[in-house]
Amino acid sequence: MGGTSGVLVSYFLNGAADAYEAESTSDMVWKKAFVKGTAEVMEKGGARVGHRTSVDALKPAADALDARMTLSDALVAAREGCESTKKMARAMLGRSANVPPEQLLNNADPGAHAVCVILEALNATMK
Amino acid sequence: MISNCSIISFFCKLIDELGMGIHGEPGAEKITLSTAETGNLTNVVIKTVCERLDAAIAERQDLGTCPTLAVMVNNLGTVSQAEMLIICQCVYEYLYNGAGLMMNGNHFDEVMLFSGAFMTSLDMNGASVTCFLLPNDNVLKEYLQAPTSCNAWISGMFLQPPSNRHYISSNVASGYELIPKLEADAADTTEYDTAQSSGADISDSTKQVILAITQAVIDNASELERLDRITGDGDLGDTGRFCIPRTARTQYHFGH
Repeated sequence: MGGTSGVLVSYFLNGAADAYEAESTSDMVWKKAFVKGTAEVMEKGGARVGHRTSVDALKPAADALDARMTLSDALVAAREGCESTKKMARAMLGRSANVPPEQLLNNADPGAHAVCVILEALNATMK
Repeated sequence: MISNCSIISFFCKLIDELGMGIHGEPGAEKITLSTAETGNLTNVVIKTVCERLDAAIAERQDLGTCPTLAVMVNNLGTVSQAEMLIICQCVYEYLYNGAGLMMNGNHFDEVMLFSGAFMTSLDMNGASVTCFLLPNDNVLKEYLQAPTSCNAWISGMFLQPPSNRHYISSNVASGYELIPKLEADAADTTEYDTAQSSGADISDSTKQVILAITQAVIDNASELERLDRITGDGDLGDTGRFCIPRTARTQYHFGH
């Protein structure tokens, strides 16, 4: 991940922007934006939970927000998702798909880790 | 001719034979290099080769008016592509910066360079340099550029003297210099082409969020790179260090 991340971020932001366009500012629209952004990443990128990608952290976070939980809860979910990638021996998408299991196991997916880094910053700033 | 033509800067084997045929026969001369010279092996070797070549050409009487010089750098068969390019660069340096009497790019209207494995040898490693002064009837020049189905032939290129070469420079500092705290960037925004920004007004709180995310990614760049090196292609750290701050600064006028 690295060059692809720019494209995925733009998918996310495009999806999020759709949510803002759909309804005018309300307190919770940002949660819907996160959910839409995630859906866009999954649809355009093709990843699902379990594929050992950033989606493994992103989707749990989006699900938490969709269930009207807090950003802190979303962060916890993302971290758990990221942790779960350490046990995934194969990646279905991305550069890691070409890497053998012995290098993947016990290492978190960098994309999932990046999601956690960003959510932590978000969580700290939006308090 | 270099006996061991692996990564030249690491392999410092002495030159055996200078100026030879391709069948393993002894060369015109054996030369050895001082320890200081072996660190700069290719430059020294190729410069020596070119100097000898230049002297040999100068000895001939029947050159006439030749507006075009053709130089062939021939891979005897084992030189890596990277090293061939280094050798060509050394030849280029000699042609335009050297003190060549005849083998001097400044004395010709045109200089062509051919680089490839045109004549290879089972017995020998290294490369050879050949000069061909093309007479002004242009017949041989046309033949040299004629299309051919011979798959070992690689078309030549016309060299530009250093004064004609344009070096693309960037007035943007490298990504590593962009790492310092963005709050301190106020004075630096003039470096960037602000005409490219979205121009949209964003609220202070949004700016804070973008700043925080940018800083977090920069702070974690090493760990992201570490993970990406093991499980991917290792570029996630640099994406964080280079691209994200740059986007933040050019798109959002941080520091205004």
